[in-house]
Amino acid sequence: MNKLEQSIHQLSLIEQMADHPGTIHRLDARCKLLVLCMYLLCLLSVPTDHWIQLSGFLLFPFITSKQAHLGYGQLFLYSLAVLPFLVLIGIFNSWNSFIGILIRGLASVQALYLLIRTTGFHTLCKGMQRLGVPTMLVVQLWFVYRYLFVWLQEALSMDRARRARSYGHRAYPLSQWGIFVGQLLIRTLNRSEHLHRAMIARGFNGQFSLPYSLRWEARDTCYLLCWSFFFLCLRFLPFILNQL
Amino acid sequence: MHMSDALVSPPVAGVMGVISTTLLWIAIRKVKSETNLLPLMGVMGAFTLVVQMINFAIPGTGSSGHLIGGILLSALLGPWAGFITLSSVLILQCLLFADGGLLALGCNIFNMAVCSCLIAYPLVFRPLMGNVVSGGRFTLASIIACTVALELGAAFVAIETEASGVTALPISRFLLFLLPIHFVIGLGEGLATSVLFSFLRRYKPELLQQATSPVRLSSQQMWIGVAVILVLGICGYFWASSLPDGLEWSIERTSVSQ
Repeated sequence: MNKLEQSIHQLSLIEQMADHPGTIHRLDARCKLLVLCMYLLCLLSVPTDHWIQLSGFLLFPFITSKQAHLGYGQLFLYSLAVLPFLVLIGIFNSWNSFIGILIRGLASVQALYLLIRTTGFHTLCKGMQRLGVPTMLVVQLWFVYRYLFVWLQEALSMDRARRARSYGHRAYPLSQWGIFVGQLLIRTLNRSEHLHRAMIARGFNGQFSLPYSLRWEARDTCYLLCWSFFFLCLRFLPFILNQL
Repeated sequence: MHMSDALVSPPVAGVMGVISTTLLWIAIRKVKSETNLLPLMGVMGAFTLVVQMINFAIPGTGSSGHLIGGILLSALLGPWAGFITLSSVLILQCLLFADGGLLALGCNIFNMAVCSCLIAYPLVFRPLMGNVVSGGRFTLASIIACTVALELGAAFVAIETEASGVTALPISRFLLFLLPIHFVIGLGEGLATSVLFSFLRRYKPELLQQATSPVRLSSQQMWIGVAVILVLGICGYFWASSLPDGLEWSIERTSVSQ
């Protein structure tokens, strides 16, 4: 499977998983986004050499993956993609700090993975808009995501045709790459012209309203407060233990 | 190079987040009135994401590289619209493929989108292009601008990691490791961009008007912008490294009271 096929597979998986009727999936996108921000702030403010304290933060992705009916093993394997860079950065530190950097890196990727797979991209866009992200940026994200599928399919069919004619050559020579990507670019630009004409014909005036509604309920407040309390406790654990 | 959340401290993420958000807000205000750009920005963003997955062979090295697209987007859409488009690509990469972290997003937008669209494009690419449009000029300007953008981005990665205090690797060694690699990547990116420009010059020359028309921002304004960003970055560095974080502050207070 090449990069294009992998991406199509991954994107379809996101949409499939986001439609799952689990408790986590039903929470408001804003709530999940705020919990993630709180989690990352607390996690990243712990010094890297406090690895025992940091390992407590792995409970969040572990518990959430169970609630979302996602295997933690799969989540863990996915997060290993960032390992080479973390090793490179942490290898010059002490052992405690090195383990701390690895935990921070893996935990943050796992939490991000859970957010998108339990929320779905469209709902997340709506959540970001309601949290104050400028509409134009949200619409831009929404547009890119929508056309990503179209271009991935288009590029994949062109890439398949090329691979069928060049056995054993993986990367494109620069001259062929230019023609391939150039063709794709011309198609992209032509498509955008048609799209703009169609939008104007439907009365587009620069304003968008995304067709997804959100509703903040008591369970969202409860979820946000419980996890925030837990993260703050973990963050200030040495201070709390010192006071006792 | 995408920075992971594990490499930044909250103060550095905060400072870089504020800088990138402010620049995004300015860009949105500038582009808002040009509604014809919206669909083009959307499809070009998707195109950039897809092209980043199609590698080309780097001659004589046996390795491969891919396009990042900052200079190409700026040349086709203008620096501000290109900046918004590349930022949206980075946000999508973070959310969908976990390339770079959510808190590190401000750093990544700055290192990749600001350095290429708002610094290298108006200050390097456009002056090098001048008013003479030729294939050689496009190639030279693309290679130099892409190399400058990538080297600047790599330097900022090292500065931000050092300011976060995460790695014990000295900044000089980190730079020595990052800069040569990014120099080679920059050459590859520049060559790929120039190949695309030559394709467009042949089949859609009207699209390159943006790259050859006068720059909307005067270089004086841009220099002021760069100076403000550098001052903010330096202030952020000293602020982040000199002040204790919450835990250190608490421990200090506890030990003093005891």
